[in-house]
Amino acid sequence: MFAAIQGALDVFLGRGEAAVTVPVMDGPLKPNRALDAARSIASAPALDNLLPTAAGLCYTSGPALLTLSGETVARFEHAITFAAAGPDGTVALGLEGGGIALHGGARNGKRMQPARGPLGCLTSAVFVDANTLLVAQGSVAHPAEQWRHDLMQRGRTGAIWRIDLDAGESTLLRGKLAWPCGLAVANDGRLYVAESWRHRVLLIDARSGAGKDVALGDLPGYPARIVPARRGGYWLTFVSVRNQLVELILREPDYRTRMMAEVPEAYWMAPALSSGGSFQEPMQGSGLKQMGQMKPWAATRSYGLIVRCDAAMQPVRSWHSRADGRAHGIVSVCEDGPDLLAAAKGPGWLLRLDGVADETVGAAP
Amino acid sequence: MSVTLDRTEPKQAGPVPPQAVPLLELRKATKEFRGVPAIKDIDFTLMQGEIHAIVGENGAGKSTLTKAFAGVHRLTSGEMLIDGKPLVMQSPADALGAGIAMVFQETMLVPSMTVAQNIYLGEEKLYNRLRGLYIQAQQFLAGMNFAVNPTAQVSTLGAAQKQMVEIARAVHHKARVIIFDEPTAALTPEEKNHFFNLVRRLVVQGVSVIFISHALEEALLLSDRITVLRDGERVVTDATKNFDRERVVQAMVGRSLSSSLHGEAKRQPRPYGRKVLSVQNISSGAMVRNTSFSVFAGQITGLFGLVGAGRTEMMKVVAGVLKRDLFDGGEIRFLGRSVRYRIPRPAVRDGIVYVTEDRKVEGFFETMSIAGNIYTGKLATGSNPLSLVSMGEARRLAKTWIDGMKVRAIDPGARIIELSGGNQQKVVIAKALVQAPKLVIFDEPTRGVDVGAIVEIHQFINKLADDGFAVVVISSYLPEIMAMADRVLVARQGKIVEEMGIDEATEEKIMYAAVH
Repeated sequence: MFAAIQGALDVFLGRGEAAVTVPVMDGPLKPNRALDAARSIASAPALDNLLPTAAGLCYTSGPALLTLSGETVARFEHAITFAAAGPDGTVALGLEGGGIALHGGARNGKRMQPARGPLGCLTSAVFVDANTLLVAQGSVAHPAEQWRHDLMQRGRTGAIWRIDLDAGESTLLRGKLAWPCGLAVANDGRLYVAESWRHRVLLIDARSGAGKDVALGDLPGYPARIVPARRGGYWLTFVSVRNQLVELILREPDYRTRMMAEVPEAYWMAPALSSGGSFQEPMQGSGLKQMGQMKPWAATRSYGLIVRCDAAMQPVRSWHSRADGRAHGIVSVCEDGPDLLAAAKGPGWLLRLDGVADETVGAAP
Repeated sequence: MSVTLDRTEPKQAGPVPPQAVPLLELRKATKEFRGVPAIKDIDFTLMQGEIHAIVGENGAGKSTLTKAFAGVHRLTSGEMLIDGKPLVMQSPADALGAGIAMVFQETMLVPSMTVAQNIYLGEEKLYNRLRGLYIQAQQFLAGMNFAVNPTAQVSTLGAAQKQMVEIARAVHHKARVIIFDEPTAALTPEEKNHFFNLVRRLVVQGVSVIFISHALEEALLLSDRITVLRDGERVVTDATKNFDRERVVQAMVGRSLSSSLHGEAKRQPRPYGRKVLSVQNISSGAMVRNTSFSVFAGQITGLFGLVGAGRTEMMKVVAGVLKRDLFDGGEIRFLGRSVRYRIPRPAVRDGIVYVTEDRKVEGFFETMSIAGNIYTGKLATGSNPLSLVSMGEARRLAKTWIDGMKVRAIDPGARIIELSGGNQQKVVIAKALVQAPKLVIFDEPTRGVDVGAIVEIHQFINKLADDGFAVVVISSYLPEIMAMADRVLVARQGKIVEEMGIDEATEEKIMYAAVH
């Protein structure tokens, strides 16, 4: 009751959850140009889901699973939305509208369409053991590629499912999430969940889904995948960063309804994986263009951001591509020896950041 | 900090030979406050056409000395001579009559009046013809080569131009000695160059200058002689050419600073801890304008800015000392929770304490004992409103903190006003820390504190950060920021405009961000 009154007051006064403020990127999130300086080693449309497989490091592009050299490992009839590598060599792949496909390992070729489980918008998954897969379902209302629709409708229909691969049974662990799209098992066996639209990383029980702990909250962007780092801690990627104009629009339902009805999606005033491709796009770097050059601090719809977190999921260091850069929409990363590979889904680039995976990260006090 | 000076205009006049009679002289000057000497047995001479720099740490006695020159303080003992003749001053008017003018760090002009009106303030006639006044002022300013419009309202002028007006007013009052107290603190680098040229021109015109600055490089570059004060005593006076930075610093603190006080600027910062405070787009009045920053646990966040940059106001808003207007917008999140403090008490309860820069007014109750003051801090948390006030507990608490902070006091029952500045500051810090905070904001923690206490206070603040507390140190003294902070935030015009890790920070970079 009190929370409801507090919430209504917050909306009236524009504070708390209803504030249109955005946390500043400072401290370990201080902007730099490291992603723009990284080498691009491959490119593919909708490049996503970097992961180690028996065939070596792979990525997905639409319905195909490819090696870094571009050879097709597997191709499906639906777009691949997630890929997760299991301890026995099995690769689980989420197919938009096609359930889950298992490739390699003992269950090679198996397809799963859980009767009670998620069918679409599978955004991320992680193996707890060889037989158990935890899957994040971004939304029940929209397919994965319509993530902007879900954000603009303030979707809260995401869920985490626990799937028994042998039995083909699925159990709902946690519902009512705002686009969960990153999962990782914590050192204590609990589960980190990146809840994008609420700009936070939750820590929940991996068996029951219970728990309210916010491991990392009030983030300045929309967190995406979480990948454990070999030298301790995690890599956290971001779809884009927040800005005050989008935050304001997210609090204006009439405006959003009209915008979604009347404006083509590419030109919505909403986060994007890439921007600057058309003069019809909104903002245009919020006018901060001088002598034809975009200012890096301009408000932007798209951004590239990778954050290295310690074991307690606290940011320690970050790599950026700012408003004037192009390595935007980093949705997936994977370590390759001492280097880190990053999938910039916006331009479809595969980036190699030399030596960053070898850096040791201390625990935050 | 190195300041690039425009050397295109060389000094045309220097000090006259030492055998000449000093223009201004102090012999065995002592000034005591309640029996405590602020300056003791100071001998000082100022020659005709000389620029004499006085340097010393906070609390060294510079201000007391210059205020004695300016007639603000009367000497307890010793004598002052001008042109070799004894001079007894009862008030600043006597000093002005003797040709001694002082230009304060914060200019003493009337902002709503024009430049000309300020220059001739106090000389108004029954009928004042403004046009004539402006022409007169124009000629006067042009004669001094000052590019200031006499009809301009003072509030519209920049800091350097305001100083020009102050100087013009001093010269108009036939000042033969002008004392500048930290004249460059509020100036941009360009304005600083301009100011130095002005001072040189004054010297050419036969005016003598006493120059007080924290920026040692400025003293080394501009002055003819330097006097170093320490703990109220004159340590050395010598020609500037015989000094280098290290010698000045050693004279100021009595030892090399390289390891204890303001050394090791380039060092590895402590790692980032959890984000404790997130300030997002807050505004408050004219002093805080849509500013955002974060503070992390286990680190010292240095907050630097020039006078009027809004540093103190930002942190006072955070701590609830200044009330943030409901409709000013913005958000403050402390430990992940949105907070808006209207008074300090809920902030204290949540774990935010603010250690004031003005301890005498806001820091302690001067009529109370050390124990009483520290216990007041404990009571302010309101942890148990039904508990009785226990002087026994107050004494126990005080004993713990007096020992922990090495407060030099006879007993916890001693009145705080009887302590030195450094020990008073330690009690103020103890009064804050007894509240078991998570975020400690120190505003100018070593202002007016003796050098020995500075080192102890710095060590204590460092220990807080090592123990995992989130610490903010606001300081207008760059060496302190460089020595203490793990990351530096620079404030300008009510906003945080720059952030840098201490491993990448230099005094030049910080100052550039503060003024540009």
